[in-house]
Amino acid sequence: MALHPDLVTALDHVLARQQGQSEEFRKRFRRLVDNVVSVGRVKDADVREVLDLVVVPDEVGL
Amino acid sequence: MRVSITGWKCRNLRGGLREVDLDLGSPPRRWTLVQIPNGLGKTTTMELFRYGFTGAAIPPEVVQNLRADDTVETGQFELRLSLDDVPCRVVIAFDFRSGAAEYSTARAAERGGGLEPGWLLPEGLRDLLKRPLVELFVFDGELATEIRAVGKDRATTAIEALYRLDPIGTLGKQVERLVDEQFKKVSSISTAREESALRRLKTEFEAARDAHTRLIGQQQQFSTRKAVLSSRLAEVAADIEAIMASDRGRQEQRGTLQGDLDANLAKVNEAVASAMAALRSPAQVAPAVRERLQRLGDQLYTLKLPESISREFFTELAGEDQCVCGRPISDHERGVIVSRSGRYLAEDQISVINQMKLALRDNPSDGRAYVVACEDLEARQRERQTLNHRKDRLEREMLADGGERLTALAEERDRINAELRTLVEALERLTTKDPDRQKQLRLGWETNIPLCQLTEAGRRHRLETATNMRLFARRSEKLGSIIRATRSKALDLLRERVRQATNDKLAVILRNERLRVERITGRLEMASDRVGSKESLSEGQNLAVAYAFLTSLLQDAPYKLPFVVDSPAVSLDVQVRREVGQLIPDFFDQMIMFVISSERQGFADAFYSRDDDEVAYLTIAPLGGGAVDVQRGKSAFRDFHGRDAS
Repeated sequence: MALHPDLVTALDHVLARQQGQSEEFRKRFRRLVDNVVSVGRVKDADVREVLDLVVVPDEVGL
Repeated sequence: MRVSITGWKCRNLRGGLREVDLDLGSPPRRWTLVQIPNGLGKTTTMELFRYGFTGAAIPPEVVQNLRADDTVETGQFELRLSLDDVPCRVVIAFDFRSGAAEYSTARAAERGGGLEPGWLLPEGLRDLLKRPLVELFVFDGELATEIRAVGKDRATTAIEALYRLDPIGTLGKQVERLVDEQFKKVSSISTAREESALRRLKTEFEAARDAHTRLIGQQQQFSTRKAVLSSRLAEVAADIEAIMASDRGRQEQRGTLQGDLDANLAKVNEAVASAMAALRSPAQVAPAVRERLQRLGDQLYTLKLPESISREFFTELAGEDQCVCGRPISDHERGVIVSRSGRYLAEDQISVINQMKLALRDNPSDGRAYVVACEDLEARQRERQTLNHRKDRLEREMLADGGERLTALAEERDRINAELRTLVEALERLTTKDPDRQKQLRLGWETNIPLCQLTEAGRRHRLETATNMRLFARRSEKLGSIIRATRSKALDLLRERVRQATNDKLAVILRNERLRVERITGRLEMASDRVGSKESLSEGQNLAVAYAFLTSLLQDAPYKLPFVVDSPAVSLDVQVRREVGQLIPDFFDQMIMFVISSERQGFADAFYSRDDDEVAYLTIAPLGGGAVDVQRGKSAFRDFHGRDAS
């Protein structure tokens, strides 16, 4: 099932505002949303893969 | 997915539903007008559609209320669907005696199309078809006037379900669950989740790391100093020896005393070894101990003999002519020996006790070996003390007569020895790994290197675990916020899309007063070209808004759902009816309308001009006794004069 155009627009809009995130993250996140909308659910492993790609600023540092 | 209703069947149900089988064809026509007088099961059919679409449990009182009459005990409703052109049947079997309702499903793609127990629509539909949404497309027209406020967030909920925003919300919850699971995994190591807790762990780790560095520095400093002092001590001792060697007479005495001390040391060692050997034999520790052990041995000696070995002895003795003491043994005595032998016999384990008996009885020691060894050791120690005193006195005399140089060297030696003792103690405090010693010296991670290493390693592990957990949690928060933002933005866009589509339709339907949906929040907020905010609408306006909204909501959704409506135009004036009848049907791929004869005018007759291949006309007429006649065709529909006809 193709994503509804409004959902695609929403994804474009939100991801455009995620300055620090990589292209790989954007690609995987779109795929994750696409899968969850089409199938209704996704595997934990798929979510973890996307989580590993999320960039957050260093907070404490060792 | 395209969902169409291709027919339904009722058996033994109340109203006119004793035996009804309506086949709409496959594919069904785009519009189906079902003219059915009040009281012939229209409302019941709509409710059964809702159950068929949701698979919800049906309460027993509802089931029993569906019963056609007391002559029937079971009944059935069957909803026939087409799912992307694949036939599917949902069957509900009713048992009126027990009030039970059992679902079963037949899918052409599964098990050859046979019925399977349960409500088994495809997964995506199962998630979608919840009661609030189903009520929007299996729609009670008489509720249309309330659509704007029915269920406070019905509009938003419907958009989220229809346009698949719900699974995105589920994705957000999945991320939260993963964080909780990860947190549970590491909670035995660290419960730190917030930044402040992480900073505290970092401070604690750094304190241990700094203490370790400081203690290692101290150890190196003390070791270096100890080596320097030891070297100097050897030099000083050598100088002292060299000077003392010049006093030959005293030096010889000193040598003799040292020889005596060496010999004494050998004897002390021998005495210690003897004392230790005696200590290992309990009977030699003290006469009192030996006396008690022997008493125990005597008591053990009266205990029984091992059975398997000793029984033979009594048997043989009873067979002899004479006893072991030399007296003749009579038959009576033989019998007594055998019969009483059991008193003296026991299990074989008794042999171990026998060995103990023998060991105790046969020990030749007088029990004083340890005492004697200790006395000898004390004597050797006293002798050693005397020799040391004499040697010290002699050395003091040699130093006193040795001049300033020797005195200075002796003082330096004493200072070095004092400092070395302090250093050795300090190094032991720093380096001992012995837990008893650590406890005795009251050492902790801030003063002892092994304890500090343990603390540093533990704190590092906790910090790393917490840091990883914190990173995971922060990534999850970020991902969660992106998911929420996506869902929220999509909802805004979809609401706006539905709002605009609704307003486009309203502009066509309501020409007198240009009503528009101002906002879709939970409900529909209205405005008009005359007033900014318009809360109070006429019944016709409410109905027009309801249909414009419903059609806009459903027409563009990924799931193409049928629209089933009961009494769609009953409350509209004829003009609005006509406009609703002309406009709204075009927005649906399938629309089934249950109408009463009074709705024909204006609403139903708007279909007469449409292509006959696209409109099905069904008229259900009562035959009496719950039976009905289903007539097909436009003319039967148009000419029917039911009891509801105006």
